[in-house]
Amino acid sequence: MNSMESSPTFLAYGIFVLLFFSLTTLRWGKKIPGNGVWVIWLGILALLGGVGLDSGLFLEEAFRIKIWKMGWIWPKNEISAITVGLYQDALSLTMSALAALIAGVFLANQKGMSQKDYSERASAAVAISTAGVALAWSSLTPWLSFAGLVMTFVGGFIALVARCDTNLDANFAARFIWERSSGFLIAFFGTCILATSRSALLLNEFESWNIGSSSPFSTWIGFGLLVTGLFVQMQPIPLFGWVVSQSAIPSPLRVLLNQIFPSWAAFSLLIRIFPQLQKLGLFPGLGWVALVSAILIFFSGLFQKQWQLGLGSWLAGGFSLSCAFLAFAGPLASMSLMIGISLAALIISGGAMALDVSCKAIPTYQRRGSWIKSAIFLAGASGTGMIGFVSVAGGLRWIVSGMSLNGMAALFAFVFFIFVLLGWKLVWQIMEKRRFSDASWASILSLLGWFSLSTGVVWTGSVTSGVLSVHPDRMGPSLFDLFFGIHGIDFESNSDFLSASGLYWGVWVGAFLTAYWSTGRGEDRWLRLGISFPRTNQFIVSGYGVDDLVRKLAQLLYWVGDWAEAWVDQKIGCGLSNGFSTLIKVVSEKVNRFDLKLTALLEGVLRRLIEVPAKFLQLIHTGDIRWYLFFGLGSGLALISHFLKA
Amino acid sequence: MSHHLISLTILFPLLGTLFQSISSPARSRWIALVASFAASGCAILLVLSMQTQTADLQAVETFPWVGSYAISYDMAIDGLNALLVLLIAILFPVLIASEWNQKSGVRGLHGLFLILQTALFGAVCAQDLFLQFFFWGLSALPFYFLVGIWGGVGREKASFRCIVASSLGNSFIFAALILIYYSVDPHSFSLRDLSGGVLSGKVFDFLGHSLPISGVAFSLLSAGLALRAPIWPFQGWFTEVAQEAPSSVFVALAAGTVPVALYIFVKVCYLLFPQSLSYASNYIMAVGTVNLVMGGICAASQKGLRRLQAFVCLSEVGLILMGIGSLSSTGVVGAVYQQLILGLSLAGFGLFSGVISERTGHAIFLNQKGEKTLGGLATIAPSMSIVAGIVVASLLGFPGFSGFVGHALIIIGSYSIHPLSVVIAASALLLASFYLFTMYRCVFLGKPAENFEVFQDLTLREQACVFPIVCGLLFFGLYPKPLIELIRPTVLTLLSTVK
Repeated sequence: MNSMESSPTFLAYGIFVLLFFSLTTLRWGKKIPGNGVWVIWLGILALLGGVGLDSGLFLEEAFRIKIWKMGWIWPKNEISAITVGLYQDALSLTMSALAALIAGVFLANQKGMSQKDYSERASAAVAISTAGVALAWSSLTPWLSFAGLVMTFVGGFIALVARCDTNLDANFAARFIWERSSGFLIAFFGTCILATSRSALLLNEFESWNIGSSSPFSTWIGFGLLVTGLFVQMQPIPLFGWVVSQSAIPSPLRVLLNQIFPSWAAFSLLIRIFPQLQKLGLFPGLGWVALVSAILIFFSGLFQKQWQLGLGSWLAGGFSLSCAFLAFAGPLASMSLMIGISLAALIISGGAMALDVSCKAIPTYQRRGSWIKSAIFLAGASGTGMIGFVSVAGGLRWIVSGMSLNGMAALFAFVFFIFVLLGWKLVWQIMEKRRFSDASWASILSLLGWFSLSTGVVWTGSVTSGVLSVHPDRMGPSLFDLFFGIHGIDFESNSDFLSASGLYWGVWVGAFLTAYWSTGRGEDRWLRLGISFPRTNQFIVSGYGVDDLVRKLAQLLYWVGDWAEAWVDQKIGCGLSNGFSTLIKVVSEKVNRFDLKLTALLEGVLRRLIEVPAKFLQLIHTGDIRWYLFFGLGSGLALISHFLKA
Repeated sequence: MSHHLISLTILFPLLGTLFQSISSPARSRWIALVASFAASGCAILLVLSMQTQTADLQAVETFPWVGSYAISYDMAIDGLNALLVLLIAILFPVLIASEWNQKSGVRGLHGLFLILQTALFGAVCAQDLFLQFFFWGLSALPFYFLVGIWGGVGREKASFRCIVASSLGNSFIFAALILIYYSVDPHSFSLRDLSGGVLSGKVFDFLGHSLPISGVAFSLLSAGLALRAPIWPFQGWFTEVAQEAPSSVFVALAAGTVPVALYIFVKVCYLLFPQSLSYASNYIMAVGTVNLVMGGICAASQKGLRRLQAFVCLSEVGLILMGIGSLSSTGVVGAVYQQLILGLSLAGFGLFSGVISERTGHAIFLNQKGEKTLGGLATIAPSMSIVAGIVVASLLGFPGFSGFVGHALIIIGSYSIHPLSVVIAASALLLASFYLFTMYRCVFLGKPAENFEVFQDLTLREQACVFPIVCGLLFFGLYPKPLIELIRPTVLTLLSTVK
């Protein structure tokens, strides 16, 4: 049930307040050192309050979806209208709440997460990104969704800049923002093309996108660019090099603001336009591209020496895989993996960071270390699709979607295998670290807080995450049902259930054991393999040489730019200028010469004309001819002429 | 009341010039600033008093000037020039304030800025071709002195090239004017008399050939404005001026004169040559695309802020031309809107690059070896880095910033007419994100250069200078509706003539 609102909802006000407070802290935070986080907290509370109030109304009013829209740049009913609006359903409320909770927990434990001095800018960055995610999921139109998307990566950029004091970090930050903004611009161009022949593009109205009735070529181009731009936000191959680059930013902050939140914002639009993409037939292509991207990124992750880079690869590959899930298994599968892997990555990065800090070897710290290791282990299980966690709902659907063809099932199983393998490889790699940690109990609790959000009960209402053919374990309502209206996995028969589940768990256990065998027994066999093939290893680890290629392309661009500028300025600009100048000089010299000759000629004629009477007058003047004689002659002539006339 | 606002807007800077030239340097600064503010106040009042949803000329002031030649002092404001009036109103007080500490010849500098302000206001509001040409021609002259006297080492050559290009351009425009004037009977320079396809079908004999007056005049006018806009490949003088002129002077050129040149092109061509414009629309799109791409490629190879700014301007001019050539209401409204945004963005860019140049003695961010010569300003000068960030975001068209509105409208409007151009333009804009963020990285991020420990952030005066520009970039990005409602009816009326 949809209803049109005359004013924005509480959630919208919450987002606005959070954004306002975050910008205030960003600008004036240094004037209240150490207290900026409280201002941000107020904003987070405002957002949570908005979500809470709207959720209450949502439940009270029997899941009534609220819509609020207004024309922004062009009248909303005309072709090419650029409108903004809010679309408040269960999905937007839940994702806003999730983003706010994650950010809240992060900020509550910011010192533990960053292991560096407290920074107001980093807090502001977290808040801006959070507001961006909430806005992206709550928007009614792609235009406002873009605003949310841009806020997420601007937040990520601010976080990077806040600690950017080396040239290496500067390059990292610039690369991050350049790639994110390129993705945004591509998606923006795509949407502009779609808007060319359509009135307001509304995410809740399938018909407003006019698939089929409008120019098919433009529709394909528009959607193609839109999806490509959004996919770029998932850090796919070839724009993945920065994920495997080192930076000074603490891993949890990097994972949250540079990887998770921008991807979530992009995902919001992909999920909303899922029916349109499905009808257009764009999905198989996107799915295969995402799959190849995921495989290559996972492989690169396996050979990473540092856990931070391996984790980044796992997350980036996981987002690509989520896109593949979306294409082949639908939005539920995709979203469950996205949420599962994001929360797991946050826990792993936070936990590993805590273990990285050296401390005294005392029993208290050992106990804390054990708790952190447990959290990391559980995060591994949660992220890789262990039963009982949200990600299993996606993983199993993924395998089921490939069961129709044997080859496809094998490929899907293989991709799932390396995904799980990399996840557990990371867990084992981190577990090999020191056993002691002086992290506060608040830090440990924050990890467990995130962990609780990744359980299947929260999302599916069932203990097993709804992966059984019937649902004996259902404990409450399922959020996924509310989002997508899908009830459980659709198995045709019991044998289908058994074969799909068998394949899934077989692959999962196989990957778990392989990870343990290769990494968990003290020696990292992947690293040893890398050392045996150093050049190949370097090629894979550095992101398949894409960076070198980009560098060469950039050099080519510089050369072309220099050449064009020099050619235009020197050949055309200066050439024209010099040509004009020469022309003017030559012409003026010729004219001058002609002028001299003409002047001389005229002077001669004039001289002659003047000289004769002048000579005569001179004769009179000098007295050679007397004036009275001249007068007499004149008078005589006058008299004669008078008498002749008479 | 609004009936005299245009005249006051034009008169105040002239009076300011007069008074400040006979006062002491200390007082002259204040006189110049007050005069510029007074003119800007009138201009803003004028725009605020405008009626929306109408294409009619407003605040019309007219009386005969040179009666024997039917030249009249005819001034008015409509949806097409309102934004430029606003731009000039914001720009010039900021420029005068930014040169507050100028040591040598402050009276001359401020006086020339005031003359320029008068000239640009006049060129924008004039509804008589001769009057417009008068003000437009006047606007070229101050640059010769501003660059030649206050410029860098190569100022003489730069100012000479600038005045030659301007004069050449003006001579083309004047030729077009004469052609138009004598082609109608009774002879007239009034845009109102000449509009509505009066020139269509008229021809003149030239060496035994009949040439259409409309086509020839259109070509002459376009060529004349192309030399001042700037259009690739005739931008050599422009980049040289960017290199040599003081930052504020180049801002006046790029953010003031260039949008006005584009405005004159839109106004005169849509009113007087609708048929020629319709024929040439594909060429205009092509020229715009080439400008956008070549500007982008050349910008990518720049190592200094000033030349980068010049090529950014070139690129943005290309985008605006695409909107103008689209002949669609969305595209043309976008182009008109983007003129304002281009001016504000380039003003912001010029101001922060000027401050950097003033503090460090240069505006080069990469040396010939590709090593950074600036850097780390984000930690030393956070306010400046925020301003630069806002300018970059606006130039790239991030949502919430004013560039978004113009970019979206131009792309939407142009795609249906010329899809290929838009695809190429999209690649050029992707390139823009590359070179602008490269610049940002080299200037603001990373390890600060060794001699930058004493680098000062924006002072209160400098913050006051950039404040209106930053506010404009944000406000017009978040709430473009009033301005769009102002532009749209005029554009629709103009387009109805073309179609």
